[in-house]
Amino acid sequence: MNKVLGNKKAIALFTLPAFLLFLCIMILPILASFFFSLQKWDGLGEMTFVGLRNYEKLFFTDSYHFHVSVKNTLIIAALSVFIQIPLALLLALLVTIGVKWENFYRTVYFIPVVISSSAIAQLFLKIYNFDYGALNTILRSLGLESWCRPWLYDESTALWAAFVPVIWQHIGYHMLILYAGIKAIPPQLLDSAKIDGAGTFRIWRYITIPQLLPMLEVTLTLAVIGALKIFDIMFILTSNGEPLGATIVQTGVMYKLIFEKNNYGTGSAAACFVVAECLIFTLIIRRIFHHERNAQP
Amino acid sequence: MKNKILKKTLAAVTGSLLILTQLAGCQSASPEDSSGSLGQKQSENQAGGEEPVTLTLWHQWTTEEDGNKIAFDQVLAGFAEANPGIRLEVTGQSSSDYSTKLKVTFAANEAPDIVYIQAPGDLAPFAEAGKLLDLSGMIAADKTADKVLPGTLDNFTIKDGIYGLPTITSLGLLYCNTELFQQCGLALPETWEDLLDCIQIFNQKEITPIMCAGKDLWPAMDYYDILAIRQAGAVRCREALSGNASFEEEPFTEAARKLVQLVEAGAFNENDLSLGWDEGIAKFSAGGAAMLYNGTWTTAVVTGEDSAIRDKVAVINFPSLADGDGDPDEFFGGAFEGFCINANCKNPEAAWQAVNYLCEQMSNVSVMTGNGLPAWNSGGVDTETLSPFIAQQYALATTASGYCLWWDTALGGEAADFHKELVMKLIQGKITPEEFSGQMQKINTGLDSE
Amino acid sequence: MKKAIINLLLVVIAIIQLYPLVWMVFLSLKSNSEIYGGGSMGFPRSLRWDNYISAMQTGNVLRYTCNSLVITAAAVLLSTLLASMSAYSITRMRWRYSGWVMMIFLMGIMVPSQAVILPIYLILQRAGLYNTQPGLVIVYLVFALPTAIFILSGFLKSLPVELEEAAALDGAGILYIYHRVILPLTRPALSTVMVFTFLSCWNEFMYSFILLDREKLRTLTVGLLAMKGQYYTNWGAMAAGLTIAALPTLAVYLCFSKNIQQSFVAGAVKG
Repeated sequence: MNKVLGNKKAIALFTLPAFLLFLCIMILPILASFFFSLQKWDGLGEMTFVGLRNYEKLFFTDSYHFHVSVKNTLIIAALSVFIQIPLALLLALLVTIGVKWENFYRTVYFIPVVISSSAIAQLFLKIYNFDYGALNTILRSLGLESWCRPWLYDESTALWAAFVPVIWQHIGYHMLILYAGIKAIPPQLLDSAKIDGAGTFRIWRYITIPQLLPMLEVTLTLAVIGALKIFDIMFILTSNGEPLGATIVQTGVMYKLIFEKNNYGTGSAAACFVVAECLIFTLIIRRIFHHERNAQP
Repeated sequence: MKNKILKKTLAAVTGSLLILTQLAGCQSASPEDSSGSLGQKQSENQAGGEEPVTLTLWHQWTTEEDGNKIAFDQVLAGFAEANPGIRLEVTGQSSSDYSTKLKVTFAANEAPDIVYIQAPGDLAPFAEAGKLLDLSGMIAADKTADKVLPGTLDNFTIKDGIYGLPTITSLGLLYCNTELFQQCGLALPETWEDLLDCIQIFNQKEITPIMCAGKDLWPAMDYYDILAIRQAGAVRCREALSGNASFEEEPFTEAARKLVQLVEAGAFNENDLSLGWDEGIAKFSAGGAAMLYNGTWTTAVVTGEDSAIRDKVAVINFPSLADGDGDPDEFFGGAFEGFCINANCKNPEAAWQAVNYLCEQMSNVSVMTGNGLPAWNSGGVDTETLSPFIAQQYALATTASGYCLWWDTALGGEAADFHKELVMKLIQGKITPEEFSGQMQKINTGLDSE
Repeated sequence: MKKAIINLLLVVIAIIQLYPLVWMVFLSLKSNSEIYGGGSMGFPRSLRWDNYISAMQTGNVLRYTCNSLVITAAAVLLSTLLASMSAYSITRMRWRYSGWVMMIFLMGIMVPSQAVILPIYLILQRAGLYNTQPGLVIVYLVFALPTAIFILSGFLKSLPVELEEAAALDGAGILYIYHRVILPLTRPALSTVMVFTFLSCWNEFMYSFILLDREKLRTLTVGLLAMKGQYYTNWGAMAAGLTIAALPTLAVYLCFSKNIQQSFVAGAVKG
């Protein structure tokens, strides 16, 4: 067995093509970004080595709004873990309990993912518009005129208004991963539980979810990393951080620095920060799940 | 058994790699093929004649509604006829990330020969990094400086070199909805006091006096900048922007106070601050506000077929300030759009010839199409044939006694971002006019040293 | 009763999830004055099919769709093949550095793509792949690899080890096991991954815009974005372009979606 699964040639054949491409196109650029993050550079002219000065600037320059962006991004990550994934799991479970039109539901729930983020962002700009937006129109017709506001620009609501589409759009994405995972659980397991007379919730609790743990780890990791890296939908919804940086996210700061403020060095520092942050969260999630798995009999 | 599978898989892998390389081969060859063959055909046609020089050119006008595109297509047709020896390979790149694309391609030395650019904000980094050709020699030899309007080359001058030629002049104008003015029995405002009166009356009639779309920042920035120009004068503004005067001087603070006064008088609808530029101009075009102060590019939209007010707009210069040092005939704006030449261009003479032609003709044609005002004084404009609205705009521009360029374009990069955010903070009452001036001066003392 | 509530819930959610698509189609038949004049959400007042014509012309939709299809298809096929091989060797085969290799692949998901665009540009330039479709395919494929490997390995981990043991006892080699035992079982996950990769490549804008200069190579997203003007945008035509662009994705998704279901059944019988 070990001989078959430890076949060096096969391992090389399976892994190397992807790995080598990956090294050249992905790892090399990451290293380059790290190198840039130690330089004072506008992206065109001469570079000067400045050590960790860019990180210092990133953390302590108020006009970059970096602190706010980290806070906002972490909130999105938390919402992904505690709202997005549970909803996705619930939908996947509900769809697979043997309802009519299972395929229809699974297909339709995924549609917001199929439509590009920019279209979704445009839709929500229209929903939240002060003058003709759907939300204010409904409020006005209910006589709640005083609740009307420019949802994406009022400081008390902008952040949360922007989070709704961000979280909602990808529920279908995670649902599909979990759906595929549930479908791969050997039917014999579920059948025998049903014969034993276990109810739906018991089956979910004791068979489906434990079997789904590896896939849950995958979706959680993807959701957290996706949240930490969120860019385009927030960029369009909030014009990259309006009002005045209140809704900016980490990659928004990075983009502004690199492409608008011509500060490639500090922008790269922001990029390296994002990578490090993702790495830490991935390791934490990994630790939690492995602990969980070991704890199970 | 094992061998068979191995062979199969190997074949599959090598097969897919082959497909990949083939794809690489054929695709990288095909564009060369097609464009090359086109060029060859042309040169064959001119049997015995000189091989035409091919130059690549990028601009950012991609939509049919874009006035620049309409004008440029006409100019290009004229160029092809007048210059058979030069073939332009023109690509319109999407405007949303145009400057990002320029930054990456210039950094990698893959930028085209001729580039549309906004000066000096976008131009300066490339010029300073030696990526652009210094045209001052050719400008001197051809006496080009005499053919353009005075001062229009300033924006393209970085240190001792001139790195581009202007196409058109764009000016800030106060677009007024004449229907709403008539409805309220008001005349178009000529002075600050008129303006405040108008604001008061419009507010009584529940009409938004001035459209201020704030989400993209720059449309809101314009209101401070023109007040500063009226208060301090265009010359002083230019000095402050180039670091030779302080933003802490009284007129700049006073301009900030005036903006706050506007806000407090209810000039803007605070909900409009949540609008992006396209939403704001759409609302104005639907009659959603009485006035809008913005650049001449606004003309195409408010007089376009989608506009409900296309026959009901008048333009005037921004009202004068009695206590201001600025001449009331000074304008906000200038010639900031133009073409420049890549330092790596293989045929600088041909490129110069092309840029010269394109810029001059863009200036002429754009006036006719109402897309902007001339940057050249070559007299190619027949004022008789202009539509009344464009004639009004053109006449207004001829009264100009001085200019101060768009501050975001003039400052460029980080400083521009900083300035735009400060103006918004001022409008939202987050900082006082004094704090505003103090922070603005950081642009001159170095944002780095925060 | 409980069933009825669940069904009602599912239907309501389905309507919510379908609305964006319907909205986009409605929008594509409106004029700017209607969109900005308060009619942005509902059924169009009059159907402006002209928007589709101008999308076809300005957006040059047909040509760009072909370009996008070629690039996306190549990236999807290659990345899925490479990802499934790597995921298998990392999660199921036994070697010392598999954990490290996995971690390195994972780092790829963590990189904000806008940050590495200049280095990637320079690397492709050195390799002579700048301004070519294969260059873009390679970039897409590399960006798709980590997510694909990650999803597939999560899936592979949940398969029982006995599968391979039984096959190995029968004397099967590793390639046979991968090809005949594992691949069929992972088909639901492979389909999922292919759908995801398709979507991310199809909707990608930045790299396509920066890496391809020539108009004839341009992909659909770049073509569509060119319809967004500097000072004015015809949103109806833009939505028409987006609707056309969504058709292939929907088709691909529906196709694979069926596959996710069917292959599961087939896989289970064999397994």
